[in-house]
Amino acid sequence: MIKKKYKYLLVLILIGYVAQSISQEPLKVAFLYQHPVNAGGWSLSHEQGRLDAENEFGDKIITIALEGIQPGPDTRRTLINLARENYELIFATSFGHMNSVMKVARSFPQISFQHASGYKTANNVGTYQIRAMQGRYLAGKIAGHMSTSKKIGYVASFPIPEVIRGINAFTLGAQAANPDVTIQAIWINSWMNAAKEREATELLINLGADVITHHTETPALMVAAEEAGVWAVGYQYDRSQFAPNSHLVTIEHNWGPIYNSIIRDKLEGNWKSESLWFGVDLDATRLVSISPKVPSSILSDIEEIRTQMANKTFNIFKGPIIDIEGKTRLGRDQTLKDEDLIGMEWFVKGVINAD
Amino acid sequence: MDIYLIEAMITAVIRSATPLLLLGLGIIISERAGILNLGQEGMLTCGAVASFLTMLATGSFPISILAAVAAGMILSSVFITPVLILHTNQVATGLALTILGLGIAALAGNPYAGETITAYQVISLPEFMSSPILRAILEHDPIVYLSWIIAIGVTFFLRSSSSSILIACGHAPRVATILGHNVIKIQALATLFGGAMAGLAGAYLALSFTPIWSESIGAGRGWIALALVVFASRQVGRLLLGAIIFGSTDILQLLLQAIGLSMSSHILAASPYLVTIAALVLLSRQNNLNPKLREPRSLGQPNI
Repeated sequence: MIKKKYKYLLVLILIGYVAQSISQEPLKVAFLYQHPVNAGGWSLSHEQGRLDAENEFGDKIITIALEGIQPGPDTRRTLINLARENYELIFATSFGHMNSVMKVARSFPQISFQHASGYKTANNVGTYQIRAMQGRYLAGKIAGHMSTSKKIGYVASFPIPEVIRGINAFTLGAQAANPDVTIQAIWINSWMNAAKEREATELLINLGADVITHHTETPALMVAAEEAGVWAVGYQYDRSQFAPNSHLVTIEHNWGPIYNSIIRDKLEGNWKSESLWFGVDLDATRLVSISPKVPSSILSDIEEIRTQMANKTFNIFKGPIIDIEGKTRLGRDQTLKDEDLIGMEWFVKGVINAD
Repeated sequence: MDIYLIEAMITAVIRSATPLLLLGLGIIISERAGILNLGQEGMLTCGAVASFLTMLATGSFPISILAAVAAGMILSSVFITPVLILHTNQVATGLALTILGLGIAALAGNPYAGETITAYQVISLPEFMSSPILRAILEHDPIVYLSWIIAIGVTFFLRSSSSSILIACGHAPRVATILGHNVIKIQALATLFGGAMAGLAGAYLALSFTPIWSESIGAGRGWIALALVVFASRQVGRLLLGAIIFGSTDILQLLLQAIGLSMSSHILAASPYLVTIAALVLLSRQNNLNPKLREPRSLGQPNI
């Protein structure tokens, strides 16, 4: 009697399962973040992109966000679990996830992996990145215009190409507004260290910087700039709440359009491994909360360059460009290719303390 | 270098030395009593989150400081209960406390990561003492003054006769028991004091240093303080020296970068640790000869 009951139950489950798989099953998409979303910064900007994608596709996709996934064994274990739970598209958003993604991807060839900001690819591993340097250049132009001391402070994390590109683009932008501007960089050798960020900021202000920007995670810099009454240029997500009076502009990451385009490809069966690098053309990097004190002539200037960047008639790294050692890196009208940008390890003239 | 830069540097050094000093004072007292509590980082972070959340809720600095001290003491009682009653391994229990504290702090602080509070304002000196250097040394917020008062208090306590009971607990707890002292009570009180100091250091970080909440707020200071205390052979004066050397090398390396010294930032970033260790190792050469500077013999040992 009991056995019969179980049989019915089993059949019922089987029918339910078959019915579910015949009906259009939603695409399961997973997102891995290294830091908690609420800590702000990089992971938060990805989370906003995930929410954008959910709005865009509705019940065609199911998404899951996993926070605090540290590089190493944690990442590997998480990726394997996701693959076993039939997640078909997995976004690993931290640079540190790279090697785990490459290892796990080999065992699950049917699953598409996307790794943000990395440089390794495979048949089922693509990379995606934001051309944040475009936003950096535009913000640099505003900063160069607003600086009266002609000194801009830059609190930087690690001297890796991504950060170096940002510093160079920002410097070129600032010099486009005012050729005499110098950028003073301080490396704190950490992505997230509120106290160091604050000390470095105060030091830069004391050395005469009147605009401060950063490539770090916490809002400590914005708070310190607000206290000292100098301009602050935010990065990653709108940071105006931390410096109501001193916030000049934020260079925001907007992952939504990128996620939408990758997920659409996957849904339509067109996904393939690529190295995607989107900029202002997809609105992936954009300036938000620009201070009302910025003159409108600058704003229209910025908008014009932005349009030119979007239709690829404007190149940030266009010669003549001299590096800090005085060497000519780019001759007249020469430009840098993407491969050179990805491995960039030199600084343009005007940067002080370039490692 | 102009005078305002020097002023800013001195202020910055004192600011980064204060949490180390507070943590170190607590560690000195508990280690003198023979208790090795490696949970400093956890207590520090919990103190920081407790004071930050209390500040958001009440807007009162004294209440926030008390909340941080209470948080540190509660966590240290979580440590001391198994250690003194069940005689668990102090190293393992301390490490567990660090993990627990960091976890609690992350959980409690998570929803408030975007909030800001107004920082503790410095107390201005009277007009006639307005020389920049003097101002940099003397003009701070109340927690810094509190740390100085506690440092003086601990120094005098360690010189007083009553401290010999504490030190006896650290060197020979059985002898202290035979002499009629309640070793468990003394060790518990010493550890609670350590917890209170770690909480206070956390309050300083969250209320004065960086008035935001970030999980990285401790940034390894608990571990640095533990190392400083060892190298300072549990002496307040040497601890202060170590904290100042560490703080100033830390600030100096940022300054050297900013003025454009062409040196690898990685070497500069390591310099505070190298310089501090070198200085304190030189100081502690004589340790084994001087009985006053010797490590408490029962440090970290269960008292059975």
